[in-house]
Amino acid sequence: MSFWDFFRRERWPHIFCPGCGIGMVLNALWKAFEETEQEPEKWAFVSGIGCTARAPAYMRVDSLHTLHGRAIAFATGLKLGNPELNVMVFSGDGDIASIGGNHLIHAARRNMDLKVIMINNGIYGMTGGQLSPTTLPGLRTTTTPMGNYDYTMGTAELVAHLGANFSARWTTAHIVMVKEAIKRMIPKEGFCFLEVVSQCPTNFGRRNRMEDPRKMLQFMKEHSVHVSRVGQLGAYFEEPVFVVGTFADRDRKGYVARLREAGYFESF
Amino acid sequence: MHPVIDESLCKRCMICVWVCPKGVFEGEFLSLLGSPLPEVARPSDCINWGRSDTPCELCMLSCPEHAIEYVPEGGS
Amino acid sequence: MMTGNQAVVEAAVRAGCRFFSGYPITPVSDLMEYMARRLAQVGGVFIQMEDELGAITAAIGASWAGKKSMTATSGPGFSLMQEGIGYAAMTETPVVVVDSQRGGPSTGQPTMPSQGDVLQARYGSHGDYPIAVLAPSDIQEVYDLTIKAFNIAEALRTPVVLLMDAFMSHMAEPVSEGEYEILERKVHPPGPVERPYEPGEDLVPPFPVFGRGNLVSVTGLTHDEKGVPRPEDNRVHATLIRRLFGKFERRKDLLEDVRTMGDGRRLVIAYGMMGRLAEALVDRGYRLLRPRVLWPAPTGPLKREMAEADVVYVVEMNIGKYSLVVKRVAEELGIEVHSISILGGRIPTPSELEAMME
Repeated sequence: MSFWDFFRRERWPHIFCPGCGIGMVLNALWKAFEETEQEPEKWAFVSGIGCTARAPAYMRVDSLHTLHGRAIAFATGLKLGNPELNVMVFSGDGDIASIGGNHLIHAARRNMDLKVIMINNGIYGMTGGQLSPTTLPGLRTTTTPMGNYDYTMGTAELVAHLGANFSARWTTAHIVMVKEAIKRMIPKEGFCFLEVVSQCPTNFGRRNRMEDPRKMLQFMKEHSVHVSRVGQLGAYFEEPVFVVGTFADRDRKGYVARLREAGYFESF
Repeated sequence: MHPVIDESLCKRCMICVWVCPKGVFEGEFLSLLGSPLPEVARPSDCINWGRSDTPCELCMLSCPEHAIEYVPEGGS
Repeated sequence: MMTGNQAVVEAAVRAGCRFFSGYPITPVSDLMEYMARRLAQVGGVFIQMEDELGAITAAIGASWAGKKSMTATSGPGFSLMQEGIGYAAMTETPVVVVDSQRGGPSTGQPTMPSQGDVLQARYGSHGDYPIAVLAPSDIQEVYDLTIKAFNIAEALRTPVVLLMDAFMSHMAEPVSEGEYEILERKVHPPGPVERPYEPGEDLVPPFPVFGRGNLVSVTGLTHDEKGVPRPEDNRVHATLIRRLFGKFERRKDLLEDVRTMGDGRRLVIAYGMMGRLAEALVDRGYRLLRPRVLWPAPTGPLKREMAEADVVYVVEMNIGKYSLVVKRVAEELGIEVHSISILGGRIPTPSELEAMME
């Protein structure tokens, strides 16, 4: 499956800014699909609102671009409506972890059979650069103009602690690991979550002396530490640190299997 | 194989210049509003040079526009 | 014998509903409980979501998987569902939303009936969109109109609201499950679809069920016939919105649904629980017009009946909301309209109602 088999060439170039990390993740996603021989007709993508959420419309798949924060809830209904569909949520940190936090928590708790890629650029990029729950300490946003005093959310850690079958974090500076994590998620049932820390040069980088996308990538590379070298919690509480690696890799029964055992789905 | 940049897709972000472990690319970043097109300055330094496969795909994977593809030596 | 909540469940299953997502709320928690059991019996699927935002959005997601889906709530949850309802209208997703009204605003009177959501059911979400709102008056009608709600949703590709109230949810009456026509959505055949929002004569595009290779991108942003987001094109947006309204204008056969009884020059307009009460006034010399489909408003029958009246009363358990609709129609005819507003949830007797009207 070539890149242009999976993406809609007629809608390209996409709207993402020069140097935005979203396009890098799209490459990794396509390559992961290509290497595992995925058929796009068997997939459906669901996204919320934000820059990342615009990405599925560029894919040659069935996609649902929904409401801010609700992608995971729509995806839950879509998956339960047709358990044969492979459903992937592709959305950003503000969408999934802030307004969507409740749906994230419960889908992870249920081990709902969904793949979620959350591109975490630590900012509300589309609306101009406001604070996100995942913005690292000290950095500048439009709603923390004096520097971020807010505490950061470790989304991948939270998901792991709720019992999801898979939870990992990588950055776009580790693009091959992003691809490998996607490949790891694909055959698993249950809730599979990948957080990809990414750069927003326009609305984040520029305000933090990192307008050059390479500076942001360098920042991510230098501030990343593997989970085996730190405890899972707390590294990012006071310092800008990206804890990368896999936080959970389990094989618990997914929600669809539990529903089947309870007696649902027989007419499907 | 070596990389080539599709000028009609490139947004001149210079990530290829940063990511290549062999320094194959060269480019000058002026601002997000516009920089000159980066160049494949040293294609023969590419890890894939002289091979028919592409064990290193860092530039292709890292280009947000998918403007980089690999071609056999002598192609474009 | 069935309660209102039970009738909704039985009728939904009869109409082919195989997905329900909900959240506990008085007075429809037991509707959800019946669904949990009933859907397992018929091989469907059920989920209690974490909140009403999840309930409406999961129901919409299941509709995109091709399933007839429903959710149920009351006032506070109905307010939460408005964004989702607007999304269903914009993306033309069939889905049924039951709102069993209770005293409001806010937490209000969880166990008392009202008709306070009648304008919200029509205008609750932001922007311009049409929607169908149905109001049964007895338990047989709850059954019949639930089936009709699914039919409208599937035929017009729209969200549909079924309005009940806290007493009707738990009142039990005999229901006969007769013969019904069940309508199904038109679907695209498998294979890529270039122009998923290209409508036919009836202005309703065939539905691209996910998983059949239609490869359609659906969005709540305003979009052209290919589904491409075109938020800055004023003509694309105007065309889309007018087509959404146009779908409804073409289906008066489904959407104009009133009952009239009695005669005389004193006309009572009432719906839902008050429609049932007002039937008792027919023997006291009043004429009754009882809309079963509240929205789109039945302006034709309203004009016809009001033209034969000297005075009109609109009886409702709210501050006088549907009377605004009636007054606007009455203005053209020069007729006096009195809004009889009953608050607090206690159902008056027919004599008490008559006294209020005089």
